[in-house]
Amino acid sequence: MKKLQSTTCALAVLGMAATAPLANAAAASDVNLYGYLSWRVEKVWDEPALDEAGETVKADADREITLPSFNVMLQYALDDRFKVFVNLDGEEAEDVSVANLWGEYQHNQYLNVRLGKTYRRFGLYNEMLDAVPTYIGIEAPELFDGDHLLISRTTLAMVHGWVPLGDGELRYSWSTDNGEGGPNDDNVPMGFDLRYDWGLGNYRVGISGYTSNGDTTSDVDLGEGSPNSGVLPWMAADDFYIIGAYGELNRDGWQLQAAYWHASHDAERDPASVVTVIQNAGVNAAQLDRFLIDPDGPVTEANVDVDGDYDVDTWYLRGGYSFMTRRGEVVPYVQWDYYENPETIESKTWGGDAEAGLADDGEFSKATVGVVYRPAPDIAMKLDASMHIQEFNGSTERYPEIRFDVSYIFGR
Amino acid sequence: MMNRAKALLTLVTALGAFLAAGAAAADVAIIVHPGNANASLSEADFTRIYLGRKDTFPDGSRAVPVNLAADDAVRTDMEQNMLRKSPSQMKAYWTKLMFTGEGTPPEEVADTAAMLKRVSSDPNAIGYVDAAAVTGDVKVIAIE
Repeated sequence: MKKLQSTTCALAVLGMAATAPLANAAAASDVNLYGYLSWRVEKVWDEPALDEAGETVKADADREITLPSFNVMLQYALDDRFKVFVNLDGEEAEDVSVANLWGEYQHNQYLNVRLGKTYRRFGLYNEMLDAVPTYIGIEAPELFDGDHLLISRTTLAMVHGWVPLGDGELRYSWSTDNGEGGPNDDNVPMGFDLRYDWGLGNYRVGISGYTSNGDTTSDVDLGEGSPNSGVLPWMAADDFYIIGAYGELNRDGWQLQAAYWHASHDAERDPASVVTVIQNAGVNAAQLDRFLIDPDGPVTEANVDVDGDYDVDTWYLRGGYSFMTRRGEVVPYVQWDYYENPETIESKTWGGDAEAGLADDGEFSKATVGVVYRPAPDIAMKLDASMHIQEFNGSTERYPEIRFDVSYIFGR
Repeated sequence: MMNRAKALLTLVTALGAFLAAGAAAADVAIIVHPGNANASLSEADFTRIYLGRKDTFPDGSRAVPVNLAADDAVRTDMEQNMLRKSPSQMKAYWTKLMFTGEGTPPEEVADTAAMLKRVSSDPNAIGYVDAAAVTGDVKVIAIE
């Protein structure tokens, strides 16, 4: 109901803004309505699993063809200092949600105040994941993979600005919100990003961080799927922070990116939830070893190890080269992603992650090669292939995945 | 042998001249309203204004950048020589800003005549035209 109300509200804002130019022709240029359509197909082969005898078997996953997804966005500048942004996300044309709905007061270049639901400034990708036609690659870096987010993507209040420094610009942002799923009356979660752009924006280095500033809980109940934040649903309490650094270079057609992130969780497991997970989700030996005081003992609340401290590490390298042909722009690219989370499990239904949770040790790497073809600036066709590499059932297993994505940008 | 060397040198010189002529860009003049108090603009500030990263002139007055149409050769020259970006890179740049709510690209006008009219009628506007097309209705501002 809450989602429906917010969507209705956003649609009303879109409607009002769209009619604004009719009422005031002079303000027509201050309203911008635009977005993109996207369609995707993907297929995984030889994904490992265990048979009843405990032996590794491999099976092809069903081919996934998505219905067209869309994002409709609107920017409306009420005057020189105040603007509104709305971003409606229509995932697979079935479920419309409000990805962004915020207003911003621009005091000057040093100080801008943004209130409402907004993507937090965090690394290179969080704010631009909805700009899928524009970047190299199809999938998000593991940091923002929906099955194992390190952090919630949105925040509720953000202050940001920039100062000239040397040849470039030093940009900052600070944000806060209500925290994750649990009561956080005494917590003031904080996020920050500090980045330096130079060379006309062609070079960028930065750091981002977040702290829950106290105990919190997951934003989903156990059995309701993977969380939309960094807290697993079987935790009774989790006080965590994330820190990371990133860099980007754009020069002579080359685009190179690198980022590293570390999340540290001071967490306490809920014994009843852990018993439910073990009995229903299926866990491997390493996970059982973490969850129970005596892994060979009974699956009872008394045998659950409530000390759930763990760390998550992830990094990626991405590189591409853009060249123009008579028939459009071609960008071949390569990517390497690494992710390690020893606490998660495989079952997404029970809050896990089918990649890290499938591995014996919670680690996996993903090597990707692909190409973007833009016959016109508004159209992007992407084809890429990944090889997942991980330890499974005591040996190194590899399985491939191929994706194809077409997207189209519309509006101004 | 000497004749061959001379012929080769002539060919290379001619090729160089041909390429140089082909690469020569039109002289682009940066223009503002005649009442604009700023006599010059740093290249960095010009770039920031046209990339949506700054919205004021050095004297603090508001700066409103205006673009020629996307397929205009003078615009392509300006973007490649001053902003150091190809049309495709410019499209990607603005798309990212638009999709994150960070900004929208400068207003576009159809041609040089429209640019001159737009800039001459707005004290905050900044634009550009082929230097040969400058009239007394606008003021040329130096880029340093």
